[in-house]
Amino acid sequence: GLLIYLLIKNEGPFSITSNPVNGVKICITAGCVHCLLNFILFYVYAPNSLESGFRIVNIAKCCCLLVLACFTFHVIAICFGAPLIKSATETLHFAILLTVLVCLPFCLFFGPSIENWFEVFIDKSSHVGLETVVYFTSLSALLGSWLGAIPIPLDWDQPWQEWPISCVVGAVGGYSVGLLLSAVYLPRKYSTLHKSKFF
Amino acid sequence: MFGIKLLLILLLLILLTISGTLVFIKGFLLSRSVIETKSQCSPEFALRAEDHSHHGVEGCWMHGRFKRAIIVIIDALKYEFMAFNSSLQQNDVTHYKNKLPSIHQLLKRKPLNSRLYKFIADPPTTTMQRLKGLTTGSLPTFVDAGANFHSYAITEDNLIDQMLRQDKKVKFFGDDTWLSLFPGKFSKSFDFPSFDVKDLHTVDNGILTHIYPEMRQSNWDVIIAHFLGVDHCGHKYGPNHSAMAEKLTQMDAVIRNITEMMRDDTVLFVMGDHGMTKTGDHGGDSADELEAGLFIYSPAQITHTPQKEDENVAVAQTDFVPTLALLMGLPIPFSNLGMVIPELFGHCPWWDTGSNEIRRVYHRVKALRLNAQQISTYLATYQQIASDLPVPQLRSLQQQINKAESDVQNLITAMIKDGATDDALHKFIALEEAYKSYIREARETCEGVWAKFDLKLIVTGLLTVAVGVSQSCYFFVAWSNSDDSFPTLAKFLIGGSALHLFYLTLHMLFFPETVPPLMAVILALVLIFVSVVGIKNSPLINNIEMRRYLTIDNIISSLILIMNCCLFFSNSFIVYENAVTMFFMQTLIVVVFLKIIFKNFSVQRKEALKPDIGRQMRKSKAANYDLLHVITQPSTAAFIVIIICCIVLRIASSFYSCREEQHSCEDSTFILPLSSLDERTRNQRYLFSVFCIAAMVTAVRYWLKHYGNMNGMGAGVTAAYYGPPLAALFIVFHWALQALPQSVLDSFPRWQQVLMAQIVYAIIIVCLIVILSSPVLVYLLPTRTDFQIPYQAHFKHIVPTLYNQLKVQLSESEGGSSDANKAPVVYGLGSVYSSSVVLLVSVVSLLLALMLGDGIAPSLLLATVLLYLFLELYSVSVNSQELDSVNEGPTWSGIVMLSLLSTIFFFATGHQATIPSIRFEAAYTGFYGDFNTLLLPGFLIWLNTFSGPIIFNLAWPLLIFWPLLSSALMKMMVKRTFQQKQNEGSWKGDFRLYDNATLLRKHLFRVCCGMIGIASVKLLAAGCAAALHRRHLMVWKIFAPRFIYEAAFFTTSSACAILAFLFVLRVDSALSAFIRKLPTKKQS
Ligand SMILES: [Zn+2]
Ligand SMILES: [Zn+2]
Repeated sequence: GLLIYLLIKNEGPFSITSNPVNGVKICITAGCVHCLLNFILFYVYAPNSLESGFRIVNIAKCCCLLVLACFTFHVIAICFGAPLIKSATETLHFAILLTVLVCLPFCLFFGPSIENWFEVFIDKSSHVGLETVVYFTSLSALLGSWLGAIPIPLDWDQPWQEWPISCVVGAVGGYSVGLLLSAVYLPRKYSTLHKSKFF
Repeated sequence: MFGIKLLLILLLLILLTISGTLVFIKGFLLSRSVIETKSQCSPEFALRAEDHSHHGVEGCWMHGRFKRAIIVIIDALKYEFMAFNSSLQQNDVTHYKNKLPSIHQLLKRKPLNSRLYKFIADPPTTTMQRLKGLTTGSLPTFVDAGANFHSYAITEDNLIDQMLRQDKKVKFFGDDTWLSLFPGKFSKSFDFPSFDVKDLHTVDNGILTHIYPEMRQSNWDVIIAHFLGVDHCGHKYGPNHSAMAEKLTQMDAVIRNITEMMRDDTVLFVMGDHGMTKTGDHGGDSADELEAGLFIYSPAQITHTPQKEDENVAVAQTDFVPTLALLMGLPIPFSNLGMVIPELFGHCPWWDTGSNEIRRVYHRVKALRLNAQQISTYLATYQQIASDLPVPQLRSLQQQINKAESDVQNLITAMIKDGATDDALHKFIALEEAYKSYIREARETCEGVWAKFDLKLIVTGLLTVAVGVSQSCYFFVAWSNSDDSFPTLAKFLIGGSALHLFYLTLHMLFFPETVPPLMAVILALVLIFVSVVGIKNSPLINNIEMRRYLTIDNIISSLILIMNCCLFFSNSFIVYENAVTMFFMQTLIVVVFLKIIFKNFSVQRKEALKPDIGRQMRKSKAANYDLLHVITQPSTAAFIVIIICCIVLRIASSFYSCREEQHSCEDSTFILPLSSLDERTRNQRYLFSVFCIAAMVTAVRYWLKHYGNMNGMGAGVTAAYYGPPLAALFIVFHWALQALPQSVLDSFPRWQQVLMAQIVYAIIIVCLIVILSSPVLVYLLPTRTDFQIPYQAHFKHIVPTLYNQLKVQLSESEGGSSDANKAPVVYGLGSVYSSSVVLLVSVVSLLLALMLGDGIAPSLLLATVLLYLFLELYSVSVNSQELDSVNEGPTWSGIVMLSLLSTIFFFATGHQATIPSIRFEAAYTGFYGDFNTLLLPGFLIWLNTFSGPIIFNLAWPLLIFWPLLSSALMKMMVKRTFQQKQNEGSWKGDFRLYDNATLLRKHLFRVCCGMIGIASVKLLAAGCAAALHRRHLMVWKIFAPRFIYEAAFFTTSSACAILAFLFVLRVDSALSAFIRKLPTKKQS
């Protein structure tokens, strides 16, 4: 699985500078594809590790949650200072991207239960594996998009300083960094775990 | 007593910071008093009869050599661009050299008609400052005290004004900066926006389409054309770019065309207002930026001595002012410090100077003498109104000019007697030198005072502020958990800072001119060092307890505070500060939210881990996913509150006003005065404002009622009951009155126009006095037999606020055997502290609403709502820590958030950190016309400007009291276990703190310290940024105003913090008086 993580790192940041909306769209699809790929991979290799199988109710709930999350992200982005009407489509795309990067993995791997989500965030140590990866990626994607807002007010007059390009880059970059981190972190954690099991 | 001691420490901290700020300002803010006197046409020092007898040409101080002048300013035209280097080949690569050949040709063909100078600018080399220098002849400072703050218009005597006074018609073309400097002064103007630096052609082409036709007409005396293309090209591409070559070639054509069209009575000045660096920027004081060029030409002869090739003479930019004035026969502007260019006055067409050396020199001396007399008059006048020029130097200057004057008189009488001799020539040459050196020295004296940063004072000031910061850090961090005795270190620090303050004051008061206060610097360093060591060695840091402090929200809020301080070092972040602070605040709110959710969840898990129930719960959750369950979750409640909080904060941003540098920003419609709107929007907005203020009053009322603080007929309660609604009513009337058209308004007598507002003032002052005299909003149930009544139905909403604990306490004091029924029942005791603070804040906010006017006042409703939501969230986050919130006291993150909120509401009340955005009209709410003192209008403007910070800084004691109230909303957001923890024992509210006076004072002190500390850290950062960027292009427009605002902000917030501190102490003492009365009542 690790190879894919490293591969995906190059996918995002290349495509967005000139046309923001299209770029974000590409990012979204890339994120989706990546998540689905992972999901299928895991489903194939270790079907037991997933809590519940495919159930239509669950999928519907997931979709509901995703839409809700997307809406929330949109509202939050506006609250943080995104223009209300002027670039609504850009904001919406940014929200979708964040949903894909942050919430989609959760939905895929842990189902629609909010309790499970919190579990991942709080008891990071209890499970090693998927949870850690998801935890790292979503957290760093959020952090990345937060940091991405920093260059916007600067007076460099660069085209990428338009909202939301730098934030999108930040989100994707953060996501990739999260993947990288978990790729570094997981083997070490595994080795320590195995050691402790050894004793 | 303990409270007073703490208060003294706080005062000491504030004084330290303020004195540091003052010292810094003395070194940093160059200021000068503006004298608005204009030079008269016939001053006493002009030798009238003698001067005009030969010429018969009109003129004021001197005969006017030229009737008309054309002034072409090519922005950022460097000397290097103008000077012709014949050694260069035609197709040399540099794009900016030899691109103005027409100047070279004129110099060659007509050496007696043209001159080229290096034109040295005074820093800062920004266009606006330069234009001021080029028209008034004075030196640039930050505060031209006495100037009209409201606009940039020049009030000092200047060339344009003198031209108008002599009935010259001035036509203007180009950069619209001129129009803001000289509004309404030009007989005809074609102005173009100077804003877009990337736009190379709009201004220049605009000028070119108009200037030639206008020049051909004869209805002008002076033409001013200000081209911006070269400057913009420099900013965009740098000097060495093909676009620059094109631009300069275009300018060359302009010069050629104009010189060809000129007539004999006209003189042309082509100049740059400043130079540019290798990268094309300007603003600083490097040689590249200072060396502009000046080219003078006239079809008539202007000089006697041709300029030698390769000779580059430097003149100061201020020299342009007296030169042009005397050449045109105008008086020299009153505050000019420049010197006439002597070569231009050696030739006089009416006096046959061509053959006569002595006449040439004499003519020059005449011009120089007038110039020197003007400067001497100016210095004398200046010394009368301000004392910042050094007296000994002024005296020696006076002696110089007196001597020269008597020499001139003697020489002239001698010449009349003996005729022109060789001896006389030498004497004239000596006199010329004497006048020149006088003017030069006078200028240097003024420069030393007005245009030099005093680095030593700057450093001392900053260090003193840093001492204040480190002390508040020490008292906030290291001293917080020790008991009420002062450790030796604290005593040492207090003594040290007192000494430092004392020394600094003495030094500044009595020896302002002597060596910089080295002692103060050393002392400051020692103090900072000691307090850092103190913080490091404090028990808190080394203890495990510290880890409790390092919660996620505290760390993040510290980070945000640091980022907020870094913001002052970047001009673009300062420009967009309103958006950036909101971003920070939203982040903090979200962080608090996450914290609450995590806490809730971890509690839930703990419950779930309890063996049997837990397993069931887990199973049921996994099995059925219930929507209702989600909604009733405390996290969901918290989530909703957070979202509302964020949205309210975002709505507040619709009250932002724009600063000049914010492109694509539109002022909020709320800022316009009501009478300027059309009828429908006017009514809508008026009703909206009325609704907002009514909602504000009602909300506070409801809150007080809910906690039982509105019962009985005590003075404080009565004030709370009637005061705010009445005040609100009259505020609404006042707004309605203001909305009337001006013509209708003028038909009222004056007193009627301001009556409403004055009634509001009266009500609010009465309310404040009442609140101060009886600040405790409680109600003692009069008879003991009525004890049961509160539990009956119609008192339902008071029930949770009943206070039972007093009963126990009192009965215990009587030996524990007394009858429970005999205990007094007091309403509203559980929120005794918070209700008083809430009332104070609400009354003050009504006053602020009046100041802000109907447009911005709704933002105060937002502030109130936000304060409420914030306090609720804050209480939840405090209470969800598994600690006793009483002993723990307020958290750091809460303090940071409160100070951030106050910054946000500075912006959200329609203000920006620039000088022109001060709302001076606020001084006229409730008052009419002129004031005898500046104190009252200043106070009103201050209230208007800092209304947001005032509210939030008065409300800080609520950080301590609010978490103890455990309101319904808060209970919804916290998991049940916490509620149980809260409700063990009966509900006491913030009266719990009455039992522990020391703890209360200590909490108050800590929060106050925190507030002051945060404000002074920001002040320190702003000061450092301003000092670091003191040669920056934007220093006078962005950094220095930001620093001044930060200083004012610090003063405001510390004053409010101290007031709130005193107020709580007052409540406390009134409360203890109240309690003391209780037992006696009982026994009677
Ligand atoms: Zn300029
Ligand atoms: Zn410029």
